[in-house]
Amino acid sequence: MSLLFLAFVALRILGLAFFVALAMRLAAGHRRRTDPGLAALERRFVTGGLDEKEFRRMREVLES
Amino acid sequence: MNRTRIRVLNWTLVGLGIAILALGAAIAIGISSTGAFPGPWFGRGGPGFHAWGGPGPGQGPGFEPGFRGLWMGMHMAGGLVVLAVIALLTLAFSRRRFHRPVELGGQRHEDDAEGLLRVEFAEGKVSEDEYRGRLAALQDTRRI
Repeated sequence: MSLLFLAFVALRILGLAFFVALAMRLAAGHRRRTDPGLAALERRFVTGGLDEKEFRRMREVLES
Repeated sequence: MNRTRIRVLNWTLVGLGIAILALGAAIAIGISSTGAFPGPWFGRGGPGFHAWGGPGPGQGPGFEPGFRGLWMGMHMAGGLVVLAVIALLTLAFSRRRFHRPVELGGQRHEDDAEGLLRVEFAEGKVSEDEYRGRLAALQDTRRI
C-alpha cells in the first residue's frame, strides 16, 4: 500500500472530522444564540431588574 | 452555550484546517515527485486523469480504462455517502435541539427542564447554588 494512498485516506478522515467539528461548532453557536436563559437575563437587565455587575456575574454562571 | 466547549471546537477547527492544508501540500508534492502518479497532473490522461468513462481525448485505441480514475471516483462517492450518513445521524440525535420548547413570556413546556431552570435562574427565582445543584442533578440523572 503506497504512502500516497495512506495520505489520501488520512486526508479524507481529516476532512470528515473537520465537517463534524464545523457542524458541532455551528450547533453550539445556534444553541447559544437561542438560549432562553440568556435571553431572560438580558431582558431582565435591560428592563432594570439587574445592575451590570450582577448581570455579568449571572451571565458567567449561565455560560460556565 | 458552554464557552469552554466553543473554544475547544474553535481550536479543533483551526488544528484540523492546518493539518488538512499540510497534508494536501504533502500529497501535492508527493504526486509531483514520487512517481506514484506519473506524468504531469495525475498521469496519462492529462489534468486529473479521471478516465473512468473510457479513453479521453488524445488516448488511442488500446488505452486501458483508468483504474486510478475509477478509484478516485469511488473515493469521492464514498466520502459523500459517509457525509450523508453522518448528517442523518446528527439530525436524528439532535432533533430535540431544533424544537426549543421554552417560550419566553408565553406558555412554558416542562419537557426542557434545563432550559426552564436557566430561565428560572435568570429571572432570579433560583439562587446560584440552587441552580448549580439542580443542573448537576439533571445532568447526572440523564447520564444514567
